[in-house]
Amino acid sequence: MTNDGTADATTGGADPRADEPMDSADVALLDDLVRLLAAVDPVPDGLVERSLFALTLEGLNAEIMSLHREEPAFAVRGEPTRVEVRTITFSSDPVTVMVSLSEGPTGVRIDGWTAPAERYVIQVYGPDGFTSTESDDDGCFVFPDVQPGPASLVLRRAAGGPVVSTPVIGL
Amino acid sequence: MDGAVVDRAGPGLVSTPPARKVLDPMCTPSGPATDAPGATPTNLGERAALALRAHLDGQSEPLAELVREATPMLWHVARSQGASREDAEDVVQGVWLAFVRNAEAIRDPAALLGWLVVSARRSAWQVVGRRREEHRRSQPLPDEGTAAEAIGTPDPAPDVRVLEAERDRVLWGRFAELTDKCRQILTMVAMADRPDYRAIAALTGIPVTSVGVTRGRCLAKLRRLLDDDERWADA
Repeated sequence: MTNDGTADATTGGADPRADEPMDSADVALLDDLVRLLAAVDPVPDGLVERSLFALTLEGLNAEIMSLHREEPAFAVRGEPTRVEVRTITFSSDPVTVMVSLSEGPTGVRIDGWTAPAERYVIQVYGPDGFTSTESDDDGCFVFPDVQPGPASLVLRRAAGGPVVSTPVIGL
Repeated sequence: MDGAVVDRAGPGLVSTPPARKVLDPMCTPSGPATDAPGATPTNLGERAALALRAHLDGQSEPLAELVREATPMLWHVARSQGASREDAEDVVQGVWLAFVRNAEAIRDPAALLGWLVVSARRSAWQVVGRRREEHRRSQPLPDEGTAAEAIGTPDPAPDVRVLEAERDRVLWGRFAELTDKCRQILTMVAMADRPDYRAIAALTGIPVTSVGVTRGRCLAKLRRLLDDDERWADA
């Protein structure tokens, strides 16, 4: 691990940044601080997953639709207060989609409608991957049972065209 | 130089959880005192650089590891600017998104960690400013004193009630007495397995050459405050 032959030029004692190395008490104090920070202001559960997931979606190069909430307030951030959700509307230039969320056999059932009513390939992305379906000629689609958690709907017109996706929401 | 860093840091490191627990005396001379290129490939800043290169090469896993490891740091940076928990979440996600959108424009991978924390700070600062503005506009009667105070800390939050041990409360209280800069530096040092001086310099605005010394002073100050606190000695 020591690499004196090559590293001396950059790590030599003449480095003006050289300062007292931390001793074990310093390290213990810093470890305590990490623990306290985690206790008093914990990083929200799932923030990492939601961030990763946002990156996955970003990789799709989809246009992000805007979200219009409807009552009741929707728990988009995965805070423990999960609220039952009825309908949410997302809009973008090419398409608007309304989804209704309800309880599914093991997770969440999603009923959706697109406007204009056209055939779309629709995917629900979650941290673990995605499932696909297609809307019918009336723009209706159903995901009968999706795992709860953060998710984003990704839509592409069956005939081809730009991809749009919803912001990440909590199912 | 970079090649060597990549090779040595490659396997094992990226999957290592952020555990800094080991302070091998053998390592101290070259360890915390420097983040010189090539010297400590185990430093978060260097892993960030590796993740950036891998991302540009089309590999996703190193970036995913970086997200797992650096998110807590970005979170605390955002929170330290006064962002609410909700806003801080948006800030963190937004920083990661901004990173992949701008990855190709980041010319110096070694500066990435600094870029991330500065982005988080600015973004949090913006959202806090926006919230204050919203709050101000929604206040028909400007009652200077109380209003300003109330909105100065939109979500002061860290909930000290969760700290049950007297020792923890003392430490937290004393830590809170440090300057913002000291708290930022120590938080960064504590959150990363090794201090990344460039990132700390970028975040705090102090010259990179002063980070080590300042970090030392901040730690010494904290230890002095604790030593003078009889509750600390008792605990």
